[in-house]
Amino acid sequence: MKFPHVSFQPLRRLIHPAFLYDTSDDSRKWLWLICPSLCFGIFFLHAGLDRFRVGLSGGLGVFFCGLTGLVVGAAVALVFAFLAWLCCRICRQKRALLRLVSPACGVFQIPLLLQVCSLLFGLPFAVPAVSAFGLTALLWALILMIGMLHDLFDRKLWLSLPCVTLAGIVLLSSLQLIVLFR
Amino acid sequence: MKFDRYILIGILCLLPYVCVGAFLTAPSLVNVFSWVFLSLAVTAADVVCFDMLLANRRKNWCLLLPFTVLFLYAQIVFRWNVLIPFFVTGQFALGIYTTTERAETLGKLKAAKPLLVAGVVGVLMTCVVILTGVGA
Repeated sequence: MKFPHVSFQPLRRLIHPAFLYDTSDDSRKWLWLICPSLCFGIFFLHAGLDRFRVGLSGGLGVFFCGLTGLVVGAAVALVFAFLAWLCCRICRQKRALLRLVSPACGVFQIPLLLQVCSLLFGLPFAVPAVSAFGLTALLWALILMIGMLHDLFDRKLWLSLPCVTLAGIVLLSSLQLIVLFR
Repeated sequence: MKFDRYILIGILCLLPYVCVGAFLTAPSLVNVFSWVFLSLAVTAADVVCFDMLLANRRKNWCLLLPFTVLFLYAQIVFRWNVLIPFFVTGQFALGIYTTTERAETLGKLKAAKPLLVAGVVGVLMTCVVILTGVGA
């Protein structure tokens, strides 16, 4: 069977966000913060809407929930970029902290897509989609984190794997907090 | 095929899933045997497939480690029933990075095929994880 000529470069770039370290424009790197902010914003907003649906929260509560998500998303990406920079320092690799922001945000591209799907799927059908899509987004973020750190640390697994595990523990704990207080 | 410590790490990473699946979900003899057979089948398939794909990248087996640790963390600390999502994602992570590394070593035309397979498996993984979560 003859395989069609299709460019798989976008797919490769999607699962290896580290390429953003070299290619992203310095003046536009902060724009990448929109990605994790929106991802967490939609997740928190959805959780808030679920609370609103069962009468546990008012309209203002939902608004503040979404707003908190926007801030938390940006903070998580910045902390992750800082962690990656710290690990780069440990293994004596010269990486600019500010340039690590865009790959750290690029990790949340697929999770953002999933959160949009979660909102589109969860709102009309009233199914418990927050936890399901939240966990899926988290797992995707972990996969992409592995890819990013793997490339940044020149495929040194002994450094990238503990870093991903630590980030995963923090993300899982925050998901548990959201589920508890939803 | 060379059996080395990385394959052993991979098998050890699959062990917690087998134990939890066999003893914690519904402790019965049938359940224990079905999980043991399932894990043996998955491990055998992994060893054969990944060894064929990338014999000099056996270190990739270690990619299963964070998923196993996080699965145990979620299972023990939070009592979440997330066996299938973590199991599937660990396998997918192992597959996708092995496939892309394989694709890098191949030409453009040949690289498309493993990447397409990885993409399809990724979509399937996402569906399985979401459906498991919605059903739980």
